[in-house]
Amino acid sequence: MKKVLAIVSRPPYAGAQVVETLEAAMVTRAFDLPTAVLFRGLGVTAFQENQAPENLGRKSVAKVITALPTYEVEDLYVCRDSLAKYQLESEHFSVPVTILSGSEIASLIGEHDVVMAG
Amino acid sequence: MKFTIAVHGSPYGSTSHQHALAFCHASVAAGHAVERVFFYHDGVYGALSTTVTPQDQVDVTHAWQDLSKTESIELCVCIANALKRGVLDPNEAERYETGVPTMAPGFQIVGLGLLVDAITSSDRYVEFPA
Repeated sequence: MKKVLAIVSRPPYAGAQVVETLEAAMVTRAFDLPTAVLFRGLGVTAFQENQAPENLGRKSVAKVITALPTYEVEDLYVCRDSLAKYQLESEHFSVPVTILSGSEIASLIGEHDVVMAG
Repeated sequence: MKFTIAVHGSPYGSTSHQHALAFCHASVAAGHAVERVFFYHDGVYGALSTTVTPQDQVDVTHAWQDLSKTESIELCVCIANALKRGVLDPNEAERYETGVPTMAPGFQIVGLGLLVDAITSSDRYVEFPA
């Protein structure tokens, strides 16, 4: 069984890519492929609290992330350096995540057969 | 080797299509197989039938159609990504009563289940980002 890693690097509301990448991850998982998601770079700001997507008339990326475990997408990883850069603390996140260093991210990518980078 | 290709950028907002086309031609020339190309995110704009390409530029929609014909490659457009960007085949145009189909011949609207099938049955999945 091929293992899939979706990587979210873009800011949550700059285009539809982040939601569409997460939707793709939910589909690969629904078709029984082991699927993990890594948030890195500006992608970590998708966890920012108090998002107001209604001001943009857009779907809430925070809600999509909160729903991931419901779709059995439970292996969620976040880049430590990116969290520090954007001053986010994972204890405030709506879902449990594993924080990884740069070298651990390299290993994570290496462990997966398919990378969907959005 | 068997490749599944994904195109993520729009024809004029990125060089995603140009790079993916070059990769497909090189792969086929080297004896590899490309069975399906998936158009996802803004990549679906490459399937628009209403694009008028400037004369001195490559028409990526026609380039995909030609490649699909000569090499029997399926051109798969993600339905969810296509609808919201106005890329509709005759069935979807009728279903949503938009009046005008906008998807070029040779492309087909598919669900993401087909992408999973392609990923599972190929050796490599290669993305061309925006």
